[in-house]
Amino acid sequence: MRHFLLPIIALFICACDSHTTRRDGPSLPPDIGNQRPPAGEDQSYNPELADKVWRLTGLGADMRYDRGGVLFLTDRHPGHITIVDLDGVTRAEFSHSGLRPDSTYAAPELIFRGSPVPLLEARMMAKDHHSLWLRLLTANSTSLTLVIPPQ
Amino acid sequence: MLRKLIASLLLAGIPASGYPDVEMPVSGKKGEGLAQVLRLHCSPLRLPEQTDLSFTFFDHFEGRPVTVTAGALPSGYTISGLVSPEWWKESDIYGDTIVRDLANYYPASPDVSRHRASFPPGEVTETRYETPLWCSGIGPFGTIEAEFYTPPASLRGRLARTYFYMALIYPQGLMRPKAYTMFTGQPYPGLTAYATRILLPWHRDNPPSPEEIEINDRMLSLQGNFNPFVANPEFVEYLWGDKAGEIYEIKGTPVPLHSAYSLSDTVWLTTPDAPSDALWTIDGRPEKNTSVAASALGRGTHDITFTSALTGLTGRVMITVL
Repeated sequence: MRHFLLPIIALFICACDSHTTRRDGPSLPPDIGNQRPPAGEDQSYNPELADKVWRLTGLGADMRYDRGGVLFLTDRHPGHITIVDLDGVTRAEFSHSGLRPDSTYAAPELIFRGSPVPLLEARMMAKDHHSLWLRLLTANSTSLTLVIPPQ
Repeated sequence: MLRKLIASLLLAGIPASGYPDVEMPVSGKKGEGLAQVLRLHCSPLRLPEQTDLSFTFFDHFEGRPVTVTAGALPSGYTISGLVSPEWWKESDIYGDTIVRDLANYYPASPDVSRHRASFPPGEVTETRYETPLWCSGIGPFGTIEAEFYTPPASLRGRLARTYFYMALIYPQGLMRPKAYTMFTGQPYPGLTAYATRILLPWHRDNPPSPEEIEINDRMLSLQGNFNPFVANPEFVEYLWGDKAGEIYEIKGTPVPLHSAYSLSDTVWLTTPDAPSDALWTIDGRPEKNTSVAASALGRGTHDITFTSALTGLTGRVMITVL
């Protein structure tokens, strides 16, 4: 399989309210308020943070919840999520073993279309009660955007 | 035994994967998504070496059987394919995938090498070479004329399904201008309007033959794959024919969740990733039925979720009723 790695523009979060869904969605974890990396961190993660839609962009795929037919699967283990294109065959799985104080994730792993994508870093960029924004940095320094339901 | 398996699966209305323990998740897919599934499940796992090839095939161009022994061809024959291997970039006779794929493998007699060469198939209006079985020459291509060959009538169905296979499995990397008569050089649909215009009637008028099933058997044995358009000719209609753009459904089975529905559709609350104990909601309201009419949901987007107590999984997906 081929990996399509594209540069992703980094964004900076702004405090926004409602979720991408237009109706009352599923029950979500308690709202723990907005969280973002301390001031002075890389501010170049813009304008992705203005977009609250759950998604994985880059790697040649645009897996967005609002496209329709893109399934976001979470489980009781907070460090694992799967995104499935129900119209095709594209599947992505992201996992980690915990969030460090510096907002990076320990042992991040990404599998895309069945193949591991080596990651240098996975960093939480922002969080609110609807979405969690992550920036993934691949081994060849390509940035990916992953926005998922908070777990 | 493989033929009986495929035949029984076809009669059951189930696409014949050829693998008793592998299912192709084609239900609920259409267009590019369907092509993706077929490409994923029907690409060669490995390719045979020349010495692996010992069989007799019928050369439709010459009208006689031809025997290949440990890769050795009869005198004058050269390694070739129904779809010209020369069309692909860096093509290397029996050194690259295009030539080695048994779906396309078709040694050429001296006359075919010389008079068919790398011409695409089509209508010949000015014949330059002719036998009782086939001909080559000049024919129309839009507003211009180009070199074509008209294949033997007995080969046209197989030829069409070989082109469909090549467009599915090897859609890119084309170089020679002649290739763009038939291929777009891009993934699905991958075939030009000209190609579908001539190939679809050949495919429809000539169902898969015992010869093609034998080739599929050989592919499965030596390559670990098969031509899905021989195993299930209906796929052609859903990709390039009268049903292009329609959702592929397997009769008698629920269609898994996908992105878009019409008002007349049924939305089945099922997807391979949903556990058996999944509890479903639609737009935040619990849904105990296994399906719901799209008309009951109404036009627009709808959020569907499931939760599983056994596995702890939660799934969220949006669908659109058009």
